[in-house]
Parts: sequence; C-alpha cells; structure tokens
Amino acid sequence: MSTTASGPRPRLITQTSVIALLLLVVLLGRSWLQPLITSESFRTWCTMFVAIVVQSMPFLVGGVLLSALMSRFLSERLLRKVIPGNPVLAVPVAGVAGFGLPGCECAAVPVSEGLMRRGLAPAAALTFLLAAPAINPIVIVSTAVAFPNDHVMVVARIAASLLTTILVGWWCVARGDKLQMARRVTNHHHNDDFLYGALHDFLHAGGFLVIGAMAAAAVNTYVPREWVDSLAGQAVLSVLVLALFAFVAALCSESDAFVAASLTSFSNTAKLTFLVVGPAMDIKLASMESGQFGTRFARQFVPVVLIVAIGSAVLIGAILL
Amino acid sequence: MKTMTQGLVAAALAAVLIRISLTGEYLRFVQPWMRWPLLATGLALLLMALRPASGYAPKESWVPATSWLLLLPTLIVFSVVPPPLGAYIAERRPAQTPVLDKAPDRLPVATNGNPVNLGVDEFTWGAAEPGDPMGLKGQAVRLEGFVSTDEEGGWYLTALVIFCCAADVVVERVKITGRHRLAISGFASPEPGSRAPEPAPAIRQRCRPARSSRSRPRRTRTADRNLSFSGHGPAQCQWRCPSGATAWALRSRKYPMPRHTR
Repeated sequence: MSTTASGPRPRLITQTSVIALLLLVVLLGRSWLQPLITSESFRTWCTMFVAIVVQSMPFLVGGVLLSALMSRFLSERLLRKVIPGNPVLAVPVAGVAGFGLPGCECAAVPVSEGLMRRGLAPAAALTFLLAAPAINPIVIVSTAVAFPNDHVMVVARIAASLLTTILVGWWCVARGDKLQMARRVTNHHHNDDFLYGALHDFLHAGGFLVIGAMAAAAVNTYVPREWVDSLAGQAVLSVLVLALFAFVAALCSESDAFVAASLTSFSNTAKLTFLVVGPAMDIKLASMESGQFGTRFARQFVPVVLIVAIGSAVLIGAILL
Repeated sequence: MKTMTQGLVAAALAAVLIRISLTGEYLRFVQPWMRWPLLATGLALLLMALRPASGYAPKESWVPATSWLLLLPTLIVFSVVPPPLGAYIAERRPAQTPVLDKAPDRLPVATNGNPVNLGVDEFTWGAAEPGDPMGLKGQAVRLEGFVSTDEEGGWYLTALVIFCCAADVVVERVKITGRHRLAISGFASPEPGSRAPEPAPAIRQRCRPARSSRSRPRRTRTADRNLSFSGHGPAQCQWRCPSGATAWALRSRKYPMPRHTR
C-alpha cells in the first residue's frame, strides 16, 4: 500500500492508506452512522444523487473505454476519409453521426475529446457531442412512446435538435481559436497504457459528473414541482421556465420525454424547448465540459448552446406544432 | 491525488456498483435492465483501478481536485444507505397522472364479487377512460402502494414510477375518500418524523410488524369504517414502510422498490 512514498523507507501513513482507513471506518461503522442521519429530505437527496451517478456510470465508463480504443485504433486517415476536411461541411456530417452513439451525454464528453485527440476539427467534435445524446434511436423511440398521439413532436424534436447542433457547430467554426479551449488533449496524452489512460480520463470527467449530479439531485429533491407548474400560463415565460428546468434538473435524454409529457399544463412549444435544451446543455454537462475543455471555453459555449437551443425550439415549434 | 489513491477511489466505486447490482439494491436507483450493464461497468472499472497496483508508473498522473468527489457516492452508499424513494417525494410532487395515454399491457376486467388486483397506473387509466372498459364501477378493487398525505389532510394510495433513474420519478396516486373496506399490512410509526427501522432484509420480512419499541406494530383490517386508522389522524399515521413495501411484496416478491416502467 505504501510503496508510493518517496522517503528512503516505506512510510506507513500515506494518502492511500488514509483513504483506505476512512473507507474501512465508514464500512464497518455503518450501523452506528445510519441512525444519525434522520432527515428524510437529506436521505431522499442521497437516493437521487446516487441514482444519477449510478445511471451515468455505465455510460461514462463506456465512453472512456471507447475513447481509449479510438486513440489506439482509429487512424487519422480513416477519420479523414469519413469526415470532410472542411470544418463547415464536417459539422453537419458530425451532427448526423450523432445517430450512431446511443448513450447519454456522459459518454459523449470523453468520446468527443477522443475524436479531437485523433485530429478531428474541434467544431465537428463539439457538434457530435451535442448531437449524440439528443438524436439517437433510443431517444426517438422513447419520445414516440411518451407522446403517442402526437408524432409531430418526434419530428419537431429531431429537427430542432439537429438545427441546434449544426448552428452551434458553425458558431464554433466561426469562433476558431477565440474559443480558448484548454487543449488538455494535446499536452496530456502521454499515457500510452490503455487501462491507465482510461482510468485517468474517468477520474478527470467523474469528479465533474459528481458536481453536476449533486446539483441536479438538489433541484429534484428540494424544488417543489408546483413552482414550475405555476408559471405554465405565460407564453414566453413558460418557454424560459422549462428551458431553465431542463438545465438544472439534468434528466437523461432517454427519459426526459416522459417528464415533458407529464407537464400537461405547458404549451407544446414549451415542452419542445424542454426536450431540445435538456440533452444539449444541462448542469451536469456544463460541469463536465468546463472540466474537460476549460472554464473559459465553457463560459462561452454554455450560454451560446442554451440560446441557440431555445431559439431553434421556438422556431421549429412555431412551424410544426 | 497519488496514482495508488486514484486506483483505490475507482476500486471503491467499482465495489459499490458490483455490490448494488448483485444485491438488488440497484432497483432503488435505476431500471431493472441496468443490472448487467452495472455489473459489467463495475468489473471494467475494477480492472482499470487495479492498473496502478500492478506497478505501472504513468508519466503523467495529475488529476484535478474534483476527482476526490468520486468518493462521495461510495461514502453515501456505505453510510447513509439511501432508502428507496417514498412518501417524502410523493408528497412534494403533485400527481402527474396519467403519464401514458396508451392502454396498459393487460386489461384486467373485474368480475362480480371478486376484488380485482390492479396497479395504481392501471387503475388511474381504467378510471379515467370513458366507457369503463375495466368494469370498475361498483367493484371491489385491490390496489397496492404506499400511503401519502397532502396539506389538507387528505390521503392517497401512491405509487412511484421510475423512467430512467430515481431522479425522474413520477408520482401516481389515487385519492381515498369516503367509506371503504380497507386491508392494511405493514407498520406505522407512532409519530411523524420518527423512523421505523427499515425492514431489512425486506425480502424475507415482507414488511411484517417491526419488533422495535419505536414503532407500533399494526396489522389491521378495518371494515366499513371511516379511514382514520383507529384513532390516528392521517397526519400522525405516516406509513414508514419504505416506499411501496406492500407494492413490491406482491409485485416482484423480491425487492422493495418503486415501480418501473416496462
């Protein structure tokens, strides 16, 4: 355990042994600890928090493994053959490619980083990042089930999400270097080891996922749903409220259609906004992106995605719904 | 964070994933189909976590301080032991029925005299549907769920539906009014806020009356009486059988859990 100590002889007290001891104490002391925590609301928060983390773990681990596989096996030549070299054209291709990765955004963040590492234009990789959770077969099916008499909603969701991803992608092309993306990708990946590389990526992204999950669980536990419902009447306000709700609640894109369908007092355009904003940008994703690509980048990217997503949803909603 | 500690943090999280998928605790958090993905994820993560212990020394091992937060889910699962969602969330989220407009998979029709067993979602669908396709009018109906109250003192039979994970749980409830024949099994805690011990392992106990002195055992059958739980007002008689203990008892016979979508 203590071999990492740098002293002349192995030390007994190291970071690792302290953490191991902490885990052991909590594990053995659970029967004493459990009765101390009596607050129902806190226990509910714990359930929601653990649920969000547990739900995203398979996607995050799958994402870092896929990303590690890509940096090993996906050749730049192949990538260049499939994706057009011109970023302006690459953006729509990457948007449509989002159909191919059925997973939540937790997988998309490391995968898009892996694509960038392989030399894909950042704008195209970011487009893929936005498209993958928003439009994939599982999301389409769940939306169709949630809105059984309203298949226009499915079409509207796909159209508005695709519009959002492509517009944001082109915005990234136009911004170019001004995006100030922290290219951890270029200066970090010396870890040739497959397993350690994946572990390293996992720890990087995981902490930010936990921050997002904490916030989302707090919203879902402590904010009464009546507050959201009470604002359904106003046309403009209801769109903004559901956009904000989608951002802070951070539901996964496979299930948000059911929640949208249950918000019966809202207009269809407001529901569409909820469905378009949620997968494109939420508190969990914003946290992960600022961890992966830098805070300065996130400060530009997050508001732009939100504005474009709301705009596209309102536009498509006005045409179709 | 030292390389070895990184391995330890990931291994602890992997242990949590493996544990909850093997014990069935995962049903408190996510859908039933997630069991094997969670186990596979746990094993993959464990494999990744063991890499530092194998003597591999990476050239670059720096990770941001936020990575420490990955200890939090592990510590919470081991110390708080998050309960299945129950009355707390049901009382704070207004009922959101009907969620699905489509008919349930099965369409039980009540026959004369025999109580029909229904899920809360099936009942709300059947009751809302014009023409009474389930033949519910005047029939004895047996619903399973847990009890929740509202501010006016009304009370409900409630079921929770998980679509993806527990954070998106949707409340389905049936208001209980008037005089009914009521069969109750489970245990109630004598005062609000006091927590009856969790019926663990709930699988075997099937929520039998608790032996603890803190909770009063109840196994009551009231016939044609006003629903006041014989002297306890609804506000005082919080059902602390963790979420849907009676609901699962017949539904899956295995784990306490809110209901999941098909």
